[in-house]
Amino acid sequence: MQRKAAMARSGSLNPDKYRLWNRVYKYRMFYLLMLPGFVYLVLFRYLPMLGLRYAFFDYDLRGVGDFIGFEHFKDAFTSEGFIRAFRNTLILSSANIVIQMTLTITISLLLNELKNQVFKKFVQTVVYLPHFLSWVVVGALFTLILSRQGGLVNMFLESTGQELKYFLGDVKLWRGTYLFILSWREVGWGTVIFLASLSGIDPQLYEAALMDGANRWKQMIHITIPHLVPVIVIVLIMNLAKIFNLFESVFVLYNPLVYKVSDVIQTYVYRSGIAEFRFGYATAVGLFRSVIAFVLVMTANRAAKLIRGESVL
Amino acid sequence: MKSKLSLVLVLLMLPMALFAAGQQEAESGSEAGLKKISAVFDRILTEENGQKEWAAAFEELTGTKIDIVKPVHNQYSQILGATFATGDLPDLVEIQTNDYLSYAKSGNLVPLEDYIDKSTELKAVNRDLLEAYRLKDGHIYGVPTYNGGGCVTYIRKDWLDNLGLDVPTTWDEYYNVLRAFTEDDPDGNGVNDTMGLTLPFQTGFEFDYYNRFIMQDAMFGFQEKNGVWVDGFLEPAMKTALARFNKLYEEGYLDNEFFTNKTSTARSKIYEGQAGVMEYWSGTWAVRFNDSAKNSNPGAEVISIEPIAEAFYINRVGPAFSITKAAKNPEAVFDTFINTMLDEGEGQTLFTHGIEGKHYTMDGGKYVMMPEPANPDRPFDKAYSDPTLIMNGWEPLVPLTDLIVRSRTIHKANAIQLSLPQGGETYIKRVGELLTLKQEIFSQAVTGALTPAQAQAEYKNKAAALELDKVLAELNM
Repeated sequence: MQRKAAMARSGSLNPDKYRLWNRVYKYRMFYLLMLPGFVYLVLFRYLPMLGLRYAFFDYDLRGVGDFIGFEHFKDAFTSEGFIRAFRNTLILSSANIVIQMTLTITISLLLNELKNQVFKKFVQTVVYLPHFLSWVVVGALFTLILSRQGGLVNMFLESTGQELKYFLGDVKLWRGTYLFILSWREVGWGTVIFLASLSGIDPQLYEAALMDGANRWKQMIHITIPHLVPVIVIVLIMNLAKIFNLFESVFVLYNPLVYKVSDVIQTYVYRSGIAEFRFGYATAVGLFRSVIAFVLVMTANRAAKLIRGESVL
Repeated sequence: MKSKLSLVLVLLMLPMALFAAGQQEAESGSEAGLKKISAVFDRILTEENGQKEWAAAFEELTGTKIDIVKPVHNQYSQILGATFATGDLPDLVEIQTNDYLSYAKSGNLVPLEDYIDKSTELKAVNRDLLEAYRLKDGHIYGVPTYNGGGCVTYIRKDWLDNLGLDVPTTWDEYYNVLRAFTEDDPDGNGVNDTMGLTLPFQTGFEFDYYNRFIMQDAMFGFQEKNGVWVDGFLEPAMKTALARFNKLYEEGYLDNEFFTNKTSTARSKIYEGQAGVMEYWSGTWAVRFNDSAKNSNPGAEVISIEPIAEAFYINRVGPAFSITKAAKNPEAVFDTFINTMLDEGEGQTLFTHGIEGKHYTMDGGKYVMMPEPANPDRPFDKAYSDPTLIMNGWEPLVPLTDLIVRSRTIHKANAIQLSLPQGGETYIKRVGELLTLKQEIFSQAVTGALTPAQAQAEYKNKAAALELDKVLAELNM
């Protein structure tokens, strides 16, 4: 404090600034290492956000036109197609989060119980693999498997005397089929985080529990799951942030027979905005998606804080 | 300290000097003739198939360097749109048919009618083909990349022969062929594993290029009828077309998975002998259908056929070449590129067949196309311009096969020319949603969830909320 005052009196550098600069200089190599990431973040994550202003402008192939306020938002909210797409997005995304998280956690816990490491690695690899297939391939694959013209599933149904089903063309079956395919592709990949977290649990806790007579079920309930809760909350919040990001998976699996239950915000915008070069409109809908996702993330974070006493973000 | 300062100054000056040099080059280019064209193309050769060599040959021929960007075909429209949105315009672009109106109205393209009138090369092109690109403002903003072309119906001739049937010439005969292909075991394998007609579901206005035998005089999109633009979906002809679709679908003569068919899936069903009829592009596809079907079954024979008495084929407005306002000397771009493309000499050979020794060669005194490096089992069919859709009557060096000539001749003799609907702001704003609505209601009518009359009533009702009246008024302005 005295030094600060003395420096101020003598007219030398601002002591806070001086210290900051000293710290920066001292850790200059760390700052240098951080620089590429920082530049990337600014260039590719923050600067593009300036484009959000186009949501309030008339913007198409003619370039950026007049400022039109909330006109695009009004257009979207009064469009039956948009409202339907919004509803479908919420239904499919929420169902997907619940199903995927349940399956991911279950598979992770089961894999964690496997003692044969070779078999465990084999199963892990098998469940990861679908994630690396592109959606175009997955779409073509399931269109064939589910076909009524020699598709595996319908051949099985036929052999058991059941009626053939148009899984991807029936409004009653599409959502279930879609969620199954989505889970098939993503669940294995989702186990990575949980398995990493499980491997970090102190083995002594299990040993102590064993000494106390806890069977494997009790160990899972009282040790494994409580340790997983923070990761579950983080994954849930991350998934909520991506809740409106359904596009490719729907695009390769939907068709006009099932638009009613399958058309999501991204596919709607693709058809009615981007395909017609209505960039302003597409930006407005995109901005709306982001705002909703942000609200959901913050709400989940707040809920986590209320329940667990600490927030994630 | 001094040396450090000098270094900083040099570093600061360097980009400025480079910028100045670039400016000088560009300016001298515009003064002394065209040095370079920047272009975004869709259907040109891929790099693997010799795009760079093609560009070098173009430069050698014209003295103008051409920088080509070729986005992937299935994302071409979006990528070109994004390029325009950022204001980073090339000099020359290929614009897909459905997008032409939006680009032409964007103010980013240069009117071409004066250059067209001056061009001796374009005198040999049918004027109607050029006029199809004229907007209501009186300007033509694009030159056809080729004669639009269209689809014809392909049929398994060997199946017809097996069943003792003739090529159908009326709807009743066609219906009977589809029935027989589905029910009478046309491949003679003793298994009920065939269907009459397969088709992909076309999600855009391409719908009208296909399905002509069922659609007949009905149109899915907007159509000009006696000088007035109407919505084809609300016309009486559409009601009977929907009834025909529904009948074929319910009876199983039409592929019951056509809503989920991609074009490749539908084509495979012809190749593999699952289906006997499909409507698809005339030209080189005539050979591919026949050859691929023969690969699966050497006895197979696929031919193109004349339309039935009640139907006609469609000649579409093809993709366009347009020059943007970024071109410093648009007339020179036009001369260098468009006129070379149609010069009936070296230029047209380069555009059509490519480079000798790379894309085509001489074999026993005859010109033949060479195998594609990307797919050695398949010979090149073109470098850029389709030899089966030549606009100016030029005779290609590589002779066309009989199957190609047959499909093109049939198409040409039986096709009506489509014109481009030219709407305004409301049209551009609503056309996507109107199309979605049509597709949904169409699919419900085909599967029988709605009767044709209900389908039209529902469309009329819902389209009203999407300002259909205003859209039609704009089209008829």
